[in-house]
Amino acid sequence: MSFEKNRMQEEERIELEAAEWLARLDCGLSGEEQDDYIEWMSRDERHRKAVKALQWSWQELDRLAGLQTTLEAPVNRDLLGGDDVPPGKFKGFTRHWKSVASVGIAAVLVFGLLILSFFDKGSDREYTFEPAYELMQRLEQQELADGTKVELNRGAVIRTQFTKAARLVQLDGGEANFIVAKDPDRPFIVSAGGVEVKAIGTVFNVVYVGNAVDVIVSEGKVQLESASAGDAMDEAVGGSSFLTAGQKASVQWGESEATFTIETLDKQDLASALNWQPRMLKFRSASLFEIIQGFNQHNQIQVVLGDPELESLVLTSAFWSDNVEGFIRLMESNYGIRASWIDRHVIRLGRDVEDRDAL
Amino acid sequence: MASVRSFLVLVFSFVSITLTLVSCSSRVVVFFDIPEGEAEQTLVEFASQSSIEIIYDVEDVTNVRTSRIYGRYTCEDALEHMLSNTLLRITVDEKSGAIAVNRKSRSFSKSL
Repeated sequence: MSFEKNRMQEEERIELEAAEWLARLDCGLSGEEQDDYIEWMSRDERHRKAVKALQWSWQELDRLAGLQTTLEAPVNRDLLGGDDVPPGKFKGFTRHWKSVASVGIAAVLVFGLLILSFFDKGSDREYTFEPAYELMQRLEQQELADGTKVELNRGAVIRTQFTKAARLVQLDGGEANFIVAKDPDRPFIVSAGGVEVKAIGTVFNVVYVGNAVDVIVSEGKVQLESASAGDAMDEAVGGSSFLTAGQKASVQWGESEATFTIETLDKQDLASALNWQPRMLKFRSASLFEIIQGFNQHNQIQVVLGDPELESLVLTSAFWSDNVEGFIRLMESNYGIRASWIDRHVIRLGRDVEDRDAL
Repeated sequence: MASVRSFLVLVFSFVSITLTLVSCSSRVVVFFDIPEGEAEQTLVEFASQSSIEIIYDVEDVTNVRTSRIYGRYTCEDALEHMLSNTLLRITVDEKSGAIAVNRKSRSFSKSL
């Protein structure tokens, strides 16, 4: 099974499940089904994205058909395509239409999966794990309205609210690095789990996972504030809550109280802590083994060579560290290499069997 | 019938938008100034000036000379011009825009 096909099957499975859930949502969920739905949504970030994408598609379909979603709204008969749709039938028509669309999409996806499985008989059947495709996605980089650049680690979510007095960013979860555009009149404030990080023009990294927030400053200075961890902050740093370049602050909430620590990182620890950020990996006349090592140092997904002969392949390359997927696709399409998952986080590169047979 | 039309319109819109986005990312114009020279050197320079991701087998480009490129071009056009009098070809990874350069008559087995 090719790497790309494997991924497509996984995405189609998720889309199929998302379509089924939306169809069930449309008819109303029981309490038990609601629990199942919430559990399914929280199990994988891609589930949420698939549901959102399908919801958007259906909203677009409704909009294009000129359908209204409130009983009070007047029906545009022209857009509905004729005079034979009485206003009273409108809501039922929408529901019926969505159900038909759901079944249609599900049928197409099932058909697609059947075709793929037909062409894929007998290959990779021994794999029962679910590959971590989400860790292959490119990291998201955003430029905010004020020119601040944000790099989001996989799964991180931010919301912004910029006013004349302040630039407010809410980190709902995950990890993000901010390169703040200077604006002395409008402080830049990141809120994460009850901690506020205030900066004017600086570079800092915030991680908010579970009940802990870490802030690392790589340039400039920030000020920390926290209503819920204020006492711990005062006790630890004597009331001063400024953090300078190379320092890391950690706030963790326990059952009854919060803890607050500040440590100074050396260059190596600082680089290691910020290692997730994408960077250009440049290699000149390097072995494939060296290049792969470069990717492995920056990603949770690990690539291994399954054939010693591959190590002697000498390449020049310039790739972003988060583009493992693009690198592997080009290796597959240009160098007679086949990629396969051997673990949830490990991809093995081997020689294409057909190419080996041709020798 | 109206719903079928709407669905087709939506599908067409999706395809159009997707194609536009893909083509935009590969049609960014960059100023290039790369002299004629050994491909091993000039391709590195190309990657540097274009900031595009690139990979090639060193053996494929050894003893290959590329043409001079000067002016504003899209990355793909610039590279095609540089490689116009060579046996090298490019493959673009459509999803990420990364480029692989190799010999037209390349045998996979050779370099492995």
